[in-house]
Amino acid sequence: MNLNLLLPEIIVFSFSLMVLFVSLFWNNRKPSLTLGLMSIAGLLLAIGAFVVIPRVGATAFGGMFVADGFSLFFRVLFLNLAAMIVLLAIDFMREFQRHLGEFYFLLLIVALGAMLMSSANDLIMIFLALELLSLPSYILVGFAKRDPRSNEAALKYFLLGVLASAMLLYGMSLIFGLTGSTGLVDIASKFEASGGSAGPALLVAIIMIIAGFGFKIAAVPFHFWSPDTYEGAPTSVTVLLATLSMIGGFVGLYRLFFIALPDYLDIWTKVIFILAFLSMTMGSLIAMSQDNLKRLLAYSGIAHGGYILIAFSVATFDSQWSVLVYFLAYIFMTVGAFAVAMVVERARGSSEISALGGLGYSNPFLGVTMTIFMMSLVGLPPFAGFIGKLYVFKSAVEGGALFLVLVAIVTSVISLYFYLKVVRQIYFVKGDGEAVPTPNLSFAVIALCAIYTILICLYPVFFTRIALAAIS
Amino acid sequence: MEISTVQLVAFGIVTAIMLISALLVVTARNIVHAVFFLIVTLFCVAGYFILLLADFLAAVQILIYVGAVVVLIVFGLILTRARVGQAIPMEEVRQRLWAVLVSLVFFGGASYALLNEKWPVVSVEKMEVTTTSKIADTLFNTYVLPFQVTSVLLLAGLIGAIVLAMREEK
Repeated sequence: MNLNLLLPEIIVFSFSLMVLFVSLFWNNRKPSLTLGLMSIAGLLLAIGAFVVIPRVGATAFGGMFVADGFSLFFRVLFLNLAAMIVLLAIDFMREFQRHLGEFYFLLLIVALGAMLMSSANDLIMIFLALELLSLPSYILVGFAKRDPRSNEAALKYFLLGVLASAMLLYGMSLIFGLTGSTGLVDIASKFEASGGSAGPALLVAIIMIIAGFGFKIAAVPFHFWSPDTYEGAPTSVTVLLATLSMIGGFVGLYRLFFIALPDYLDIWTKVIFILAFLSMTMGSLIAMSQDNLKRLLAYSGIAHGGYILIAFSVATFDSQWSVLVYFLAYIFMTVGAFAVAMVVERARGSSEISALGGLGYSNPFLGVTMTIFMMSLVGLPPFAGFIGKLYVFKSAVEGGALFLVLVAIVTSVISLYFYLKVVRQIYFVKGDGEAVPTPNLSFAVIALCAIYTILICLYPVFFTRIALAAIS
Repeated sequence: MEISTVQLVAFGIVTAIMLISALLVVTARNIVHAVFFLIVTLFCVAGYFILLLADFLAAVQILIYVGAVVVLIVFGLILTRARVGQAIPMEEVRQRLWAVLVSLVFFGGASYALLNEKWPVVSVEKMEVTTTSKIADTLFNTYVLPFQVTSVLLLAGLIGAIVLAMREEK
């Protein structure tokens, strides 16, 4: 038994329990800092544990769990991402006097779910990993119990999330009925042996599965929960939904379709094609009319999900590694943008775009970094978003999806309008001049995100090499 | 294994009861009535398991769903002082027409697909006498990792429920 393949997951889970116990018995003056640092220690230790894990595709638990290059890439990515989210949460969860141990516990469980998703090699594991991602998220969204908007967001997210899980499970049960197996590799070989023509039940299964994951990645038309939930959730949780949870969904979609159903590539890429088109256009168009920064970022996340889905719809080797670079770029610019939004929201008590007024003068650091993140989200050089879009679009053109790329370029131009609206507010609108202090830990995260956002564009070779190693 | 007439008739009866009671669960305006129809529905699911010769699953279905889950729902009603025994006033749902349309399209599409599929049917020569040991075997060998992950999931759900339900003192 290769139990050491799961060492990072075991460490994360042990630390999540430790955080829970410590919060019960150890009362100190700075609970958020203590528990947050403990969580980060666990996450860093888990990253360190990858030293003992072999790089080549090894499996554990009878093929349920696989440790290949792809899973290595995403597990390390998710651990780093979770560490950044915890760092941000330390500053902003201070006002929550109670349940801090539970907060960090649930956050670590979400990270655990995302990691298990990257290594899942079985339908049951994919479903459980998705639930492990979702269930704590529902609770985290409703964590501000006294805020009716948080309650509404949680309920909406929960009800639609359960429906999506049911649809996904139904699709999976059809695949099991057709092949008699739950292992992804096994399913692929059974389908290959059966001759390759897809029956009607498989079509229903594919649509159900895409609907289930479409909810998680907030792809149009399964996006209705996302703006309300993003706005109502505590912002420390919104950043988690926009990155960890969304990318976790993409990873599950990737594993299921690329490993279990490669024979039916021409069917599911068509369904994803529609989703990509709708997400890009609807996301960008609706984002134009948003006045709330969190809602704007929600619609921007939907549009970026559309760009990512282009790569899924093309499904060539080049598009696969390009999308990994896109994930890297997306993470840093999104976490950065949300971090600035959190700092401003705390100081000025509002997440409206108008609250950013004059930020460029009252806090030049935040003004400059927010401008960097916005430019990067548009996809302008010399920032990470440019590189992400460049590679994905290039692979899509080579893969014959010229139409999607043209749509993507048009929507990118549209997105210029609403991202620049934020920048305009920062520099050209006089705000109330209220000072916005940056807490130290948030400063570190924002600076790190800004540095990476520039670095990915300046030295893309380093990052593409990582992505290539993960896919091949 | 040939399907006998007795099995077919039993299947028809169980299905009819299940469908009717499931409909009543969602249409009942009194939540206690809905809970009791839910019991009938869940019993019928156990009936399916018996027809498929999954005796252990049938017993577990009754123990867990009928015995525990439904009882918990009733406890929840009592403890949260919900309006037990009263009809819940329902607002006129505007999307009713759309809901019916979408459901019918989904039902039609899915049943068409399922009926027209060539399912790989495996004929079983001799059924196992007891399924319990086999379930235990798969649960703790092949599926031991999902089994453990489920426990993590349940723990997270438990702690989340406590966080959300705990009363906050000012």
